[in-house]
Amino acid sequence: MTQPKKNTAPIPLRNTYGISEHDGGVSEREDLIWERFKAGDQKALTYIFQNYSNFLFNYGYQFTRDRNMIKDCLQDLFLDLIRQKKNLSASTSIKYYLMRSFRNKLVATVEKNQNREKAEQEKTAENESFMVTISSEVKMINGQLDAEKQHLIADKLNELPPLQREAVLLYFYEGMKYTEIAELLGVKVKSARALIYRSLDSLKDLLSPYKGVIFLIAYLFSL
Amino acid sequence: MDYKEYKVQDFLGDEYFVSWVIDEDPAATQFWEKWLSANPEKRLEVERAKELIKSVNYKYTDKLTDTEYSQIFERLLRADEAAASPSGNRYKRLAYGIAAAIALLIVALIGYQETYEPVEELAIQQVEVSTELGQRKTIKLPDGSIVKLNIGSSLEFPERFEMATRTVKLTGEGYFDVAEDKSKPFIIQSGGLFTEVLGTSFNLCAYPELDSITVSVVTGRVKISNESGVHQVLSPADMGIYSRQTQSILKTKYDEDILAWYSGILIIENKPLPEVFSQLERWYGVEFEIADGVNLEGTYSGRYQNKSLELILEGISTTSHINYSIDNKKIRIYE
Repeated sequence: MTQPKKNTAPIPLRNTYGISEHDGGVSEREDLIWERFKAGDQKALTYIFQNYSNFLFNYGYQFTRDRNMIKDCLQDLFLDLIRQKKNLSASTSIKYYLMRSFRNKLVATVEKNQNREKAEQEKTAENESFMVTISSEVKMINGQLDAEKQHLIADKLNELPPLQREAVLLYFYEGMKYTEIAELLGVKVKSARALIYRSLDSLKDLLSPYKGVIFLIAYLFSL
Repeated sequence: MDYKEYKVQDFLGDEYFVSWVIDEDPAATQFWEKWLSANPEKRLEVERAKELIKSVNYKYTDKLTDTEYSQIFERLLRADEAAASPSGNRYKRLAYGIAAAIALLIVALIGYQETYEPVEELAIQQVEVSTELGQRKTIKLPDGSIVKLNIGSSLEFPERFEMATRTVKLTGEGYFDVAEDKSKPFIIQSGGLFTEVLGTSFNLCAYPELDSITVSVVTGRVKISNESGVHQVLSPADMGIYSRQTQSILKTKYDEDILAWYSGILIIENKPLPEVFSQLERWYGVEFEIADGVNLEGTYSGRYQNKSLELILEGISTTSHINYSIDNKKIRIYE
């Protein structure tokens, strides 16, 4: 198994379980674990829960601040898996399979609760869902991202609608491909691509070094 | 695909480039290194794109506490074992069912016979510590947590914390310094409010005669919830206010003065004299007797740390032109 690739302290959010997604293929290891789980191997269940429970919890935390709701959905998700394990199809990726089922469950529960309760708190949660931060852990040679620029980029991204922010994090943080994002969000691949392109367009001025300087100067003068 | 025409934005939009930066897959690394040495003028753009990708992160993150994690995991393992047991074996399950029913019946019968005997002997003994008015006590709990009880309060707790949670019951006011034990949440029940922590310090004020219960957090995080499960998570400087009437929970910031009692500081803030006297009655555990015809108009303010009652009375008598006499626990106020 490969080691964690990116330092994601304090929580290891990124999938660090040796899944190679480069050719859209699946690592044998995860494939085997899934099969072992289906066959009723409790060690496989342990492996899956250990490696993905907190990752999923944090993913859920982007949809709601109601920790109990996230916990319930997480438990339900795994209980469903356990009950139906014989009927589970061979999965291309455990991570994406879990994300997809978990997302569906959670979105349905959040919506149901919004209908029932007054949505004041939930609304703020939605506005805060998938908020992005830009912070370089490693200083790069020829690094361009000073604190100022990090802020500007994060602010721009956080102005985007929640679904677009989700796509940005799935793409740039989770390293998911367009087809995977499309499948997870239940949109066409073209739309998934458009979500990312539009986000990049909104950063255009900040990404080009010269335009960036001009933008920055304009920004400073506007203060 | 012609990478030579690529600008930063194009690299960022390229899913293969992005997953190379994130996964650092050896095969992809080889490809990009080779490409870069053939196109050195692109190195700057690539570096910038890489830098941005590596900087993107979730702004808000959270994870399961150790307790939550093991609670769910244990439940899953139990469900998994239940699912693994041969479900086709109906007779076996029926047999278990009958056995369980008989066991229940026996327990019920024994329970019935034993209702005359003290059942508590089997349970862990509950300890109750209380303070009179004018009295404060510091209690060390079996887990090492320290509770300072304010006047006229009581704390009930088990002799040993052997249950899954460390549950105590508070009436009145207490300052809690809870020893950390992530596997056993510390829960304080007061009126209809439940305060749950893992290890932190905070003040909990739950006098039955007050309309609201307040929780003021000094360090760590505290979760408070009402009986229907509505909850708030409080961080340092936060104060949770629970209304006994509506069972609602409100979150705000507290004034440092809330914690003054803990350091033995008595604060009298521009209060009418009758109120000052009843505050002193509680603080010192004394009783005031006001002689007929004494003029109790006007207010009084003062801040005293571990001072005697006499000193305060001296202050009041000079500013309000009244006299006093102390007879043990009785204070007489006269003209």
